[in-house]
Amino acid sequence: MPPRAPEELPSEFAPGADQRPGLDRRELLKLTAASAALAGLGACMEHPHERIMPRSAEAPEQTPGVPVEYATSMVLDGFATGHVVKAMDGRPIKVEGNPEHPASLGGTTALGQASILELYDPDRARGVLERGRPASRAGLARLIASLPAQSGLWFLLYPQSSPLLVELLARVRRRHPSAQVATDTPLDRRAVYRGASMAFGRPLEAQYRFERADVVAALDADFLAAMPGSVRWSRDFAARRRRLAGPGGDPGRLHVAEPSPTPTGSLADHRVALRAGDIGALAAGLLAEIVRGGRAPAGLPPELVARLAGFPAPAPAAAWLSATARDLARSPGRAIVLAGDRQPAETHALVHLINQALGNLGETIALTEPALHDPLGPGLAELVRAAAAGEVQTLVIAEANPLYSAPPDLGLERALARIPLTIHASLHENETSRACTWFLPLAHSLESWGDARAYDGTLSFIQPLIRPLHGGASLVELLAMFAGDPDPSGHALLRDRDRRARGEGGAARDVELAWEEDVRRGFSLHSGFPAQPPRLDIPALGAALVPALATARARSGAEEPIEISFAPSHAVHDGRFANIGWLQELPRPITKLTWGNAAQLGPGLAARLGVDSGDVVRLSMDGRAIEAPALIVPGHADHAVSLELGGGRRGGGQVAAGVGVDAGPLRSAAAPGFARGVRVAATGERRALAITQGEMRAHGRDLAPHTTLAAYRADPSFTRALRGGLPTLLPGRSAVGPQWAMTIDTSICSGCSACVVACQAENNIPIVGRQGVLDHREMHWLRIDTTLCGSADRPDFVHQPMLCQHCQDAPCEYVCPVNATTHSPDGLNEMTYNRCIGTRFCSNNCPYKVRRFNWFDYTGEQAETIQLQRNPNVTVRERGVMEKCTYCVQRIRAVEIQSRIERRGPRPGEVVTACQQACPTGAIQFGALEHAGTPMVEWRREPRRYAALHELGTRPRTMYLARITNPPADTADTADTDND
Amino acid sequence: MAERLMAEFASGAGLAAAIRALRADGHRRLEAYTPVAVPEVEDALGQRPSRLPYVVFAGGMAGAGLAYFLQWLLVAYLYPIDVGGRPPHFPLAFLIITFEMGVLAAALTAFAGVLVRGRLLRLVDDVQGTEGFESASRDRFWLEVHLDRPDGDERAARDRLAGLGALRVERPPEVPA
Amino acid sequence: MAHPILIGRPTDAELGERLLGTTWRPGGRGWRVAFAVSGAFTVLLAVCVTYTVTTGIGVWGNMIPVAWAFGIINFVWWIGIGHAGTFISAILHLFEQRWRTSINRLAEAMTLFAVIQAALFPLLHLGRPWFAYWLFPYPSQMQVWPQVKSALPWDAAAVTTYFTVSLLFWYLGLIPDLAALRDGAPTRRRRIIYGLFALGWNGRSSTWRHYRTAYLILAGLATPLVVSVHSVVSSDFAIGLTPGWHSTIFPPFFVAGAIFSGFAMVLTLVIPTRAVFRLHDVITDRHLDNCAKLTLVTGLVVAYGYIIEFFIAWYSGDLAEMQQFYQARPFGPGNAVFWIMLGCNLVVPQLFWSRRVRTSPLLLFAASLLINVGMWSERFVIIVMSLQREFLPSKWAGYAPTWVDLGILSGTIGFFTLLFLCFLRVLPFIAAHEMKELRHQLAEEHGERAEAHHG
Repeated sequence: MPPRAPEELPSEFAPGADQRPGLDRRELLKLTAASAALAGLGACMEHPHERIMPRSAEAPEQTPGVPVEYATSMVLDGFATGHVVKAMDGRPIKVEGNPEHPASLGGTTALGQASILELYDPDRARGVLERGRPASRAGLARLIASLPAQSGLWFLLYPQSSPLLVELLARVRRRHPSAQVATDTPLDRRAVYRGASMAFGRPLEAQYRFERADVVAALDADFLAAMPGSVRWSRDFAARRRRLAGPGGDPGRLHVAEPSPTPTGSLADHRVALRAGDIGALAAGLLAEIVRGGRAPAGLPPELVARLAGFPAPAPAAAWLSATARDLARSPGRAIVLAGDRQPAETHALVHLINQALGNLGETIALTEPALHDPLGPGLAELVRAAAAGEVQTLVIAEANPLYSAPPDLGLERALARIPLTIHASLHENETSRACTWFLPLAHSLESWGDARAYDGTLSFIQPLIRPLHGGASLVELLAMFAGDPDPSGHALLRDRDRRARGEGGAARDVELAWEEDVRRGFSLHSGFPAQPPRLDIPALGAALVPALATARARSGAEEPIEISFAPSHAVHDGRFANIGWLQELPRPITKLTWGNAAQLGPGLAARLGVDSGDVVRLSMDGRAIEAPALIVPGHADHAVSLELGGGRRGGGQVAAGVGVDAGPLRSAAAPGFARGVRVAATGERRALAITQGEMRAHGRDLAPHTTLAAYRADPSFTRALRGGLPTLLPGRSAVGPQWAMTIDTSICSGCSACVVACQAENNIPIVGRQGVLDHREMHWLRIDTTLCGSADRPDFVHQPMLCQHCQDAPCEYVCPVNATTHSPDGLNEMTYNRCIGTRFCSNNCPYKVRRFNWFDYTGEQAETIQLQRNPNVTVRERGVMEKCTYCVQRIRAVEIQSRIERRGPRPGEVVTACQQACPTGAIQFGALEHAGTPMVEWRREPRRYAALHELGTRPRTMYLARITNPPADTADTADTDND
Repeated sequence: MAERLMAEFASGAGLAAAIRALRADGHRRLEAYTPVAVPEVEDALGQRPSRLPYVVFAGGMAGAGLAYFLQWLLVAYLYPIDVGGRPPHFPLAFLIITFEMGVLAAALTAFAGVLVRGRLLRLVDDVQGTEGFESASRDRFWLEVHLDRPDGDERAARDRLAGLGALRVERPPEVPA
Repeated sequence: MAHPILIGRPTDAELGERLLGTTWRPGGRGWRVAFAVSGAFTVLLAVCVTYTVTTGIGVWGNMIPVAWAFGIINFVWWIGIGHAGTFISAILHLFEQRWRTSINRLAEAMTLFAVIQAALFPLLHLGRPWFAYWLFPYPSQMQVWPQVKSALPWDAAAVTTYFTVSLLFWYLGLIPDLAALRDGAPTRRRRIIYGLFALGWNGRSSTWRHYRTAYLILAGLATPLVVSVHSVVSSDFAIGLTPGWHSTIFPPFFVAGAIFSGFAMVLTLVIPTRAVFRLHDVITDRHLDNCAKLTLVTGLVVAYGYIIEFFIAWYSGDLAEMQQFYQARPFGPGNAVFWIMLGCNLVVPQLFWSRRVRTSPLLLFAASLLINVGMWSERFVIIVMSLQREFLPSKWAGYAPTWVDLGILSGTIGFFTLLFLCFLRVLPFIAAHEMKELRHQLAEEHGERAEAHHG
């Protein structure tokens, strides 16, 4: 694993950390061979045992070196996203989105991309433990079997949507009638469902149709990157915005109000920085404006109307509010207003009311049953209460890591101490495991069978691609043990349920075929939940909202005290992925911070406190305090500090432990999302921040052109200076074969960074650790340059995925003394690692600085499990050689070989690069220039196209489309105030 | 019977005078050994100026030509690779190495020239052994006289040399022919 | 002439004794201390080099964007220092500047040792030094040859040639003195060793004839090298795009800088040597005076280079260039080095307008040290500071060296000193036979003048 700076070393190691990481090679080979046999030979076995099914039924047999794709799902906080995992000779090596799956449409998140590395994490738990000492799984099974019926049995799980699991719980209850299930996640969505219950009388889930929405108002809602439906929504939103094919097109408009800039906020046409605590008031303000505009929903109680009349908008957002309200009112039934998960129930209720008033419900928003099972069921608080009352004899904590993530004021630790028998099942031995009597290693989702529902309810399947590397049971198998099944098989459990689910009527054979088809596809077609008629009990809702408005009114405007808000990290989520190096080293979308989190605050507050980025500040709140390095973020709400979750792990692996700071101590059960009254004080210490992009300003250089829609229409070819021919002395070259090229639309790139991890996974790119990043030696072939335009408090962001531009007259090539980087006939700038002697002249002469150098032997000492993930079609680079983006040449050549076999040329859209495939919004398009009609070619005909650093005459093959913002006509446009 | 005599003189001028006199006497086979270069002596011996420059020029040109040819052969002919869109045959870029290699070759030729034409690198030398000859590298000027008539009057030659101002006259060691 | 270039009229014997004798006399205590110190630094160099090669270039401060730093700086600096040696021994020889005689061998030795230091870096800074030979067109079954449109093979050729020619030139000049040493050697061992290196020289006049011609030719060949080598080195940067590199003034600018720093180094070496060996009559104040004057001249050319660089940056109208020169260098990260450069290379040489400074060994010595520092800083400014601020602000970064970088730099200085000290001990550091010739010429002139006076 990566080298870490001394002060980062964990003070205390997880048990077993001193053992050499990684299995010994023999064992691994056995396992992979076994699963390879399993995967392929399964097809020809007479009695298939746990037969897994590739996506394409044509070639089920294994051909060495030919990858096989399997559809499966990744579940995060209960919601499934369809994945397609590529297995090479029995080793899963790459995760892609499942193009058919409604929650993915082919896109993925950084987390999804990195889940493959979690499978091979050398720090994963390896055996059953009893009080920290090795024990046997059989022993645990006996213990479970011996539990008395009335055993005060409790389970603590993440929110669940798996039908199989629900069924198993019922079976468990048959054995232990009093068994209880508490669900908890640091990113709890109960408020959402409570809000829905207030509005509709029951917890309904809102299904947004962004592709239909002309106007979107996101209130502290990072719907493009950090919400359960984000991947799908990104694709839909982009599809709507892509109507900007030419100057005539209408991209729609995105209004965003949020405390700290997020990917969603960075794509906004009209954004205001507002504290999370003022969002409620903002929602009320919006409703007030709309009511004033004469769109009061029928039956709104008069006192509510009265309260709304002249409801004060939160000071910073007054202008934003009126403009947004007007905009929303202008497009009834074609707008979406949504609030973030951490907002209180009242805000969500208000938002439902607004959508109702605008007639969006049923048009752009459909309401369905929630995918989650019992979303408002007991949570951590109830569990603690029961434990305190001594009602809990046995507690089973699966997957969750509450001792790290739960708000300390719950007193969970004390409660646990009172429980006689506690069993923790998890991928890693972590903070919670240490406090439990028993520990059981869980199988990774790529090692187990299961099912789950997507956000829209689609029934998705989980199938294993490899036998569990370290033994371990899946969650369903664990539950089955409590249901009286001593040695359960996840496969059998799932098959049984499936048979019973389809069973009635259908012949066994049809059931078999249907099952096979669904597993191949990864989900059951049309299994999404039907839309429910939106029935708002407006009078009741209104009445319920009156007190909320009172508090909101009282709050709104008051500047002090300072607010602190907590958000999931785009990289390590709530910390559960903290042991994945790729994610720790992933530059966060806006701040570009790696290896840890920081106290983000706006320039104003920083100035008043007299702190600069890197100064350690002490954040204290009613007696509890933490120290974190400050990080000044332009576009951050004033009088507010925001902190990402997932830092300061005290265990759970070599990589995770001690990176960043734990926000936990400041969180309270009452206000896990945000709270007022934090005191911020500089400590005088400094802590270096490992940031990959030092400078976000363009310094007057025309690097990432952007303008408003109005200006674009006035002067469509405003990028004329950055495209077209340039005089040259060089002779042209005759193109041979397809000419590969890429087009990137910066208007729909949200900076979510899924592409960065995808590139890393596809191309065997190592990580360099915190110190490496501090030394400016990160290895990402693809980075996202985020350029900041406009003023520091109202900035516009332009995300520019920066990868090798594959210049046709490449400056890097002619300076290489040994022909290590040369030009291919099909227009690629090729890097021959074996020929490179490492003069680094090419990097000096690359104006885009996309070349990466192996300063040390980064790949040699990687744990053997990690090495299993490597893509065999990509050279693993040795020490002292240069490397860079290849346009995924291995994929290009694979397609070329295939097409040659079939005596044809590559088909349009046949070659897909890793970044393009992962991109949720589809901002990256790749292909051959000959293939007219493909987006790649069509896009680069748009007048807003440009080449980065065009004036240097490098003639890049990568083209960008300028960012077009569409602010409301009556707000100052910030595009041309690019003064630094 | 000596065939040769070695005479030591105090100054280059004296040596030159002696040489002129002996040549007047009809001695043809004379050679001088001096601590420093004395053009006067060389003139007196009637040596033609060195033709080394022509050799060096040839060497230099050969080196340069070879260098350019090699570059063209390897980069433009045998293995032309598309590098940054530059033409494979790129005289401007080739010239530098051509020039450097020309200079190198010329310098090596010049040095080798001295070794060969200057009759250095001999293992056996027919004057080194002479009594007191060390002074030839310090501050004395030596003359080597080949007695034309082997029957000859070594005594007469000795007297003549002494008369010409030789500080001493020695008989060099006999070298097996 | 104000100062004579040779004081007194010693006989050949005396000259020989004085100039060759240094090799017989045992080194004093001072010499042994100096030897120990420079030896220690040489060991440090060996340690750092081993560490780098076994662990990786990562132990240096280099990174993206600053992929070249100390390695290349030191390379350019050392190569530059070499130039004055060649300048003195070749160009001044062609111009028959007789005063050069007493310092040319010292200067040539300096050249050799400096080039040896420099030659270390092109190898060392590679990611995979063990493949350095790929820069040469060796018969390879891979059929992949050097890419001669890059400036690096040019470097390889230029440095190889430069080193070889300097070595031949220096050695050819040594041969007669080696013969003298052979003949005067007190012990048989020395006699044999010097005898071997003397290549059987016996002062035959026919040999002298070719010798003189060859020496003249080598001088003629070395002269273009003085100009070409640093021009080629400068193209490592000039052919690049980087703002601050992409400049046509570099070749003359670099050559001037090279000779400038070279003369400074000559002064740094000559002044103590002459003091230690009490050679004030052979290396007179006239020599120091002339070196100082040449330093001043080349210094002015360098100054002109600076001015033009800044002017062109503005004249180009290119934003990146302007920000490079008017923001990054004076105010950006590491700007202290920039100001040191200006101080040492622009201000210090102006002292040499004063004759008193030019003839005061102490002041000259101090000034020469400052100029060496200044020229190193110049290379830092050009290489590192340019890379720190390139086209994309997103990849701007500040550079900081590691202890290995500093170890290698000080190590090469130690190694250089070590070689020089050994040279002083085992070889005549003043060309004895040339001094004798010079003495004869002077004597004749003197004689003629005397006669004229009498008659």
